[in-house]
Amino acid sequence: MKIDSGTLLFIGDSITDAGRARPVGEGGGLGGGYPAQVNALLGATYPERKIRVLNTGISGNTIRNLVSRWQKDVLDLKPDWLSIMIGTNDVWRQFSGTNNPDSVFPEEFEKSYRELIEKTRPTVKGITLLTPFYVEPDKAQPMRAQMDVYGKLVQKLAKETGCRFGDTQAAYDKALQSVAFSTLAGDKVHPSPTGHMVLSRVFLKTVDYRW
Amino acid sequence: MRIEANSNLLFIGDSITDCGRARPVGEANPWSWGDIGSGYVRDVAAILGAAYPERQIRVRSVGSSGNTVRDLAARWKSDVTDLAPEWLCVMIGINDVWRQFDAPLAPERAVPLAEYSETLWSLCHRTRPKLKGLVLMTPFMIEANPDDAMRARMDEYGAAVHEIAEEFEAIFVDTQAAFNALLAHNHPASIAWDRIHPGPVGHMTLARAFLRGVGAL
Repeated sequence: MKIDSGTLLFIGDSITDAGRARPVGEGGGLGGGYPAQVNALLGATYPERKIRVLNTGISGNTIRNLVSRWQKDVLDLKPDWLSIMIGTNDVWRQFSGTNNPDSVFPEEFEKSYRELIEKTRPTVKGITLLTPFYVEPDKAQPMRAQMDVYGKLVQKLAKETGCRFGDTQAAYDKALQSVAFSTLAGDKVHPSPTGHMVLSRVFLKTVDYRW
Repeated sequence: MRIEANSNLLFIGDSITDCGRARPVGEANPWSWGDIGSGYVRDVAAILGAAYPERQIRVRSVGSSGNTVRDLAARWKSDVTDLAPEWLCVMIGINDVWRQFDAPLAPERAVPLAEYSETLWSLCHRTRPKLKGLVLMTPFMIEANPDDAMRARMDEYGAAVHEIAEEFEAIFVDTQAAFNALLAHNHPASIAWDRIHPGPVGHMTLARAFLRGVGAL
């Protein structure tokens, strides 16, 4: 398992937030999502490593919000390991309202994301990039198709910047072969406990966690 | 993984199994995911659902806070037999022991070892033929010192569970051993404030012990 010790920080949007405590989620304040599951699994499986898990996800965030709070919510916390999952709202805003100014289109998304990674990469031991996802089995559905564009960008960024990569969409697609979307995420965005465990498993695979 | 596709898996026990589950039967659903409670049963359901989605295993909980094996016997028909599970997991005994130490002047509230063993044996005897699989988990105390009086008593109850599990060809899960591994690196205070009710890491330890028992990990 790659994470040998130190602090692991999760940042992202509502899926990462999941009701975490402010200003920084930790312990019982990690929220009800995959960061809390990962914390429990790491603590139960590798108690000797004493890995500290923090969460600074914020509901509704796009990459623009991450840029504006990066210093305070990532760099100042001096994590050893970082996991980023962003993009859902960047895409979703394109499908809510007309010309929604909060939409973040691919060019800006990639440029901003790359700058954050390049600024942070030298200060940490490892970064995992998780794709955004839409728990929609029809790949031709417009929002799903656009989400896949952002997922591909995240994959490209991970490859070019030496980050670990987790394909959450692929994991959901696999589960969707067996179960209805409502088992995984009632609104196709915000996961159930089982849906969060799908994310936890994707993240843990990127760090070679052994079940 | 030994739990077959489309199985009904039922958990019964005390507060560790209860963890705020819905009444009369706790089960997660898209309108209220929390209905399964917030403990190891939820963790087991989430991991089974994420790792084995094609098996469509239904997970339900009828744990009730404060229960001893005597309470399980009293509600066994409505809460186990009538729900007709294919797989059953029982974790009971903590209150049977705890009352001997926190209510020493009310001996009627505790369940002595002989009665504990006989009652658990008869419940297994009654139900085992109807089950595809039975999992018996030991009670535990999150206390590293095996000579502590309550921990030592808990170990006796755990040994009784082991014997019954062998007799009924049940999967035996030694939760005390799982916690001992955790206690090698953590003070009990960081796992369970009262050395009984675990936080998230402790519940995940129980979930992992169960999942290992059924070959899911």
